Amino acid sequence: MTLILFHSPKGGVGTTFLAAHCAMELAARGHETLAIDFTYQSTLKLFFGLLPEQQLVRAGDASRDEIIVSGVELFDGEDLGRSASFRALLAEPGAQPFPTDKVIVADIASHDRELRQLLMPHAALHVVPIVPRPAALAALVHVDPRTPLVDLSNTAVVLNMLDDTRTLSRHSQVFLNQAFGSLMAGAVRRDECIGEAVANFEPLAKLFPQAPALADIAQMVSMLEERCGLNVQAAQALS
Amino acid sequence: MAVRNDVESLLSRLGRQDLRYREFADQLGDMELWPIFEALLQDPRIVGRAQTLLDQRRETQLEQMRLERAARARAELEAQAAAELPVPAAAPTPPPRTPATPVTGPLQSMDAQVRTFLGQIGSKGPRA
Repeated sequence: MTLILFHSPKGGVGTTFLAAHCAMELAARGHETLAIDFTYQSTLKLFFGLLPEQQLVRAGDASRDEIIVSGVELFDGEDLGRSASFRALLAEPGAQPFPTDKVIVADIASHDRELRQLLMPHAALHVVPIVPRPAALAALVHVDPRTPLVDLSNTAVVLNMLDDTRTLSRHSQVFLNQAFGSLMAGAVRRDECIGEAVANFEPLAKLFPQAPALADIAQMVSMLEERCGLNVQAAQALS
Repeated sequence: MAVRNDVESLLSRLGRQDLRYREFADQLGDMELWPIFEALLQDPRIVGRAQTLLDQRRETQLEQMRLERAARARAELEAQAAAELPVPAAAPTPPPRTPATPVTGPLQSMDAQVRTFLGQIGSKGPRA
């Protein structure tokens, strides 16, 4: 099991977008991938080209057929994430709450820090999306309540909505790479195509396959694969 | 590839097939140290707290003092409890036992939900 958490201490930084596209890219690379939307907004599905009214399979509800889009099995995890018994299971020492050899991408709302804390011991990596704006940069102090950012080992920061025509945006990228180089897992350029694809209820890769953000996501996923040891696992599975 | 209409007409006016994004990369030397960056670099929640040997010594001493105080308080409580211990009496009669009622309600359904979820995500082998 490889659990990759997407959670940012700042909302509105594209966490769900990055989680969705990370899951799609991992699936395209041959990893068996499932994505769980733990947020109440339930917008992860939109990046897969689904309609807002489309209900995902609720995690823990076996009465519906599985939904697989772009190679990713999708779950609505809002109820499960709030369930007392699930949280108790996560908190249990030595528990293995994800008995699977698949890659699990979890999208967690920024306010749900408690769930993030409970899932962290089971995660291979915590991806922290931020944007090059002061409020998001300032929120970096809240990535982990107990450990300073530079001491976090299984954490990867991704700079989203990078706009290199803007001075602060460029300088933020240089600053983050210099100050927290080992934590950085890439940057994804600001791309109007993303919103336009969602507004058309189409996956970005289908409507705008040349979108710059997709190329950036591919690079980011290579970094994440390396950090999670997924390359090694894939090589072992082949041999 | 679907290209937006406005982009397509711009490209055709320019006589080009695709659009190359211009890179505006800055060198480190060109970067100004914005106060927000400086604040982050000085925040202990980002960079931790640099400890001197004296700091470490202070922390060790404080921890040792705290442990000693806790041990002393525990010993005092134990001594007090031993002094107040009543003479052992005959064991009380246990209350009559009633059969346990099965657990119902949300907790039970949550447990089933978690169990089902664990089954849902279980490996099913390679997908067709």
